[in-house]
Amino acid sequence: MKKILAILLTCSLLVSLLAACAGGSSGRVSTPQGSDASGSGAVPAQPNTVVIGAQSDLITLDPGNMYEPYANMISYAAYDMLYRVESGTMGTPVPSVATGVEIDDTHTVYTFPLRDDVAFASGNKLTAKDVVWSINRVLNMKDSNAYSNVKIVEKVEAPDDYTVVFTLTEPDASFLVKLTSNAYCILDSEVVKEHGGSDTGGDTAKAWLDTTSAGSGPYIIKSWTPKEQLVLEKNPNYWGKASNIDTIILKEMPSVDAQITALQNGEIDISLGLNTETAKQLEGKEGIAISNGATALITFLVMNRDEALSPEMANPKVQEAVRYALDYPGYLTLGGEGCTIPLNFVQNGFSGALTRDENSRDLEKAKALMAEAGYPDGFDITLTCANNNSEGLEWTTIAQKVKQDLSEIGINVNIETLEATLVYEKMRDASMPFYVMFWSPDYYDINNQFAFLPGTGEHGTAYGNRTKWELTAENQPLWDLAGKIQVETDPVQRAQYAEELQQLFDQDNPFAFLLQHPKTFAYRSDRLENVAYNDLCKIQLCDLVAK
Amino acid sequence: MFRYLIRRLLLMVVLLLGVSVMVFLISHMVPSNPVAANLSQTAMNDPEIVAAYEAKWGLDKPLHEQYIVYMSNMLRGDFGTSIRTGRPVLQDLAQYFPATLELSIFAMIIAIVLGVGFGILSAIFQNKPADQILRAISVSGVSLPSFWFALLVMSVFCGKLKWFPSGGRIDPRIFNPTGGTGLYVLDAISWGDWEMLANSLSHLILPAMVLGFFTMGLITRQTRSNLLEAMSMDYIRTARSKGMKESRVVVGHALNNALIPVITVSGMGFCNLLGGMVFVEKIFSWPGIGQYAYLSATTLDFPAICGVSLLIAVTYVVVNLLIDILYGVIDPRIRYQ
Repeated sequence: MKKILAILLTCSLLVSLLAACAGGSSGRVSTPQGSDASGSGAVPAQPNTVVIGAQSDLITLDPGNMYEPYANMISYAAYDMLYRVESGTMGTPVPSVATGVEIDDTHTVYTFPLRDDVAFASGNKLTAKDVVWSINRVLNMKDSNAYSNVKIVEKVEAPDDYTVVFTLTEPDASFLVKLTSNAYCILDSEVVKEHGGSDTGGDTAKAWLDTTSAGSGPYIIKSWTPKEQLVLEKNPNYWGKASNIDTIILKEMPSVDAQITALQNGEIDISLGLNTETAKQLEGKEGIAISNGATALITFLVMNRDEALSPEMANPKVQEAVRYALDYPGYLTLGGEGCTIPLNFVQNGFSGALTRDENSRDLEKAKALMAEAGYPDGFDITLTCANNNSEGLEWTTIAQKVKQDLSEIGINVNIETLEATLVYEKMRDASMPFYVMFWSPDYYDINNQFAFLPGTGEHGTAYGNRTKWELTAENQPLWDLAGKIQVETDPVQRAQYAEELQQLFDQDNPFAFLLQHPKTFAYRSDRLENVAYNDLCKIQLCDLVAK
Repeated sequence: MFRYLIRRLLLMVVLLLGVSVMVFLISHMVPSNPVAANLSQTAMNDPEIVAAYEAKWGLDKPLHEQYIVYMSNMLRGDFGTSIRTGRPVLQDLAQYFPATLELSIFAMIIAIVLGVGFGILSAIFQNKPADQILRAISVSGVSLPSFWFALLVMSVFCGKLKWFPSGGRIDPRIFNPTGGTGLYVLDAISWGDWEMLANSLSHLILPAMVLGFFTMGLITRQTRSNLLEAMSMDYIRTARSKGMKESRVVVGHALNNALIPVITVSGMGFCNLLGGMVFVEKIFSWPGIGQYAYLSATTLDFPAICGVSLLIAVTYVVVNLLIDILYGVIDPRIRYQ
């Protein structure tokens, strides 16, 4: 026993020595109040600090490398772009650092005059050269997700300190929307260059930008411990309206149950991990408000046109029959409050979006189409789904509902559940005949949705390749309309083209669009107001007001 | 003893090489690609972005070339860069491991203290109500699924009673620790910050209790049966016949001999903790190696998967080595050649 005690004592001494040598500090954010210091469940209100509980998926804070769903929540807080998304809209761009825009007759040259009163958190003035440097930096980061949003830019120039001119490779009516994404964040070029930043390739500033920010947004990134917490502090040099919240903390909480408990106890002020089902636990709780925000996330069935995989499912008549056989109100019930059914690939909130009639199920017509396709007695098919979910709705649940619906027209569905990465890889290879998938756009414009149009090969679209849906003379009119939408800047005319495109698309396509999901979240209404959700940047942190 | 240690350490190097080969091969046999797991749906359809991405991470090279690069880097102490986080794997491990280590140590302390204590009481009060209750607790410990127990504990102690915070390592409103060892309890003591110590302990107790519950059950059962066996030995009867106090008989004589198998169970229990870590870390928002391993596996982050596997293998080997050494310390009859 004495020997054990001696070993334990030696270990404690070694550990104490290690701790003494390690340095560091507890980094007080604020002074504990009352019983709070003991760390008990109940936390007293601290109006100048807001804690958001979420499972953020952030893997970098470098705007040139970000693409995760939560990326723009942070980039909107720490950086400025020429244009921002207007609060409460699905991607409507409004001037931010730019005061407006002039577009030339070719629709490829965009000239932006800039505000002259914007300064970075470092105190440096934000000028046109910072904008040019920041865009060129991303243009030279071809392995990054953000690059796909800037590759439309052929060149960017600064004729003077407060004017920026973009020249595009081709006309793009969605360019102002693209400008609102993190790929177009304006970085303090002088500061970033000191930490390895480069606008000609070989940039090594990511490691530094993962620890702080170099922007002019309302907040500064004070610290980030991945998968633990991110701390934002108010930028004293911010040029816009100052918030009354000094510190915002994003606390990583992968468990929804933990978020619900923490919100009730006041440990966090906003919970972003909810869905319509889990939010019911918070209904009627004092001081807590539950809210829904529109998202552009859609869930759909993909039916491959490759006859080698399944000659039955590749048949356009069968694919149409599937669309008629689905019980759409049933999917709305599964998705919960706030769900809608898009007619096809254009989400509610985008130009000219159309919704499907809930009562469009027609089993007789579906059976007739099956007979017309040569399968009056149905057939067997494998429906693949990843172990994934859309805003909390498990894909396996969707698959079971599809199986039930299609059994009524004789299609016997065998459900195959796989790990998500395997399904994505099979999707890239176009090797599944029938599967459940979701889609969230990279930017909030109908142009991003042309990924669902026909076209295979190197210049094909994402889902053209994934469904082997060839571009033919018959479906060429889809692209004729898409071409008009791509460049049309008049919103009314554009919406009209978009409606025509969707009607035409609805006649023949290899998809069945099931749901567009809302985002459900909850917050402490006794502490916060003006908590608006925006699908691009989740909560607009600069709009939050502490009571 | 010294030669024995050297031999075990050399064997550990061979074992780690074997683990790295196995992990590399198994993780590359998965019929998927990090491109599918890490690029957006639009980006993965763009051949230019995919080519640049594959070139950056060496995914465009044949498997044997990838293996040679990986092994030569590893032998130089470079575990590569995580495809998912874009940071050196060693940096990631250094960030996440202290959280897991702290949780494991406290879970083991709880498991050993309660397990041995319950085991002694259970043996002393054999077949009495106290014994039945403690046996029920130990059976629950080894049979309750940790994710279910974690949710139950959180619901009662955080949700209803509000005695403990519901997740994380520390209250982010008050503390934002930087530097130090990453073991918050130890750091708080070394910085003399008692409020931080109380705060971090309050966050630590529930997850450590849940995690240690299984091992506690094992230790209770092992201690009880060993102690009962030891108490029936002749030397115990002799000690009693000499008039020795019962407490001294149990602690001073019987327990000493009953502890050796308990140490084996404790070592196995420590390694078992790593299995329950993924669930417990997720439910209690504990930013440790369990969550890192899970996310790395689901995104086919090969360098990170290999790094985590090696770290876990080292932990297993070191714990087993320490147990072997402890045998020699506790039982003078055991000598290593």
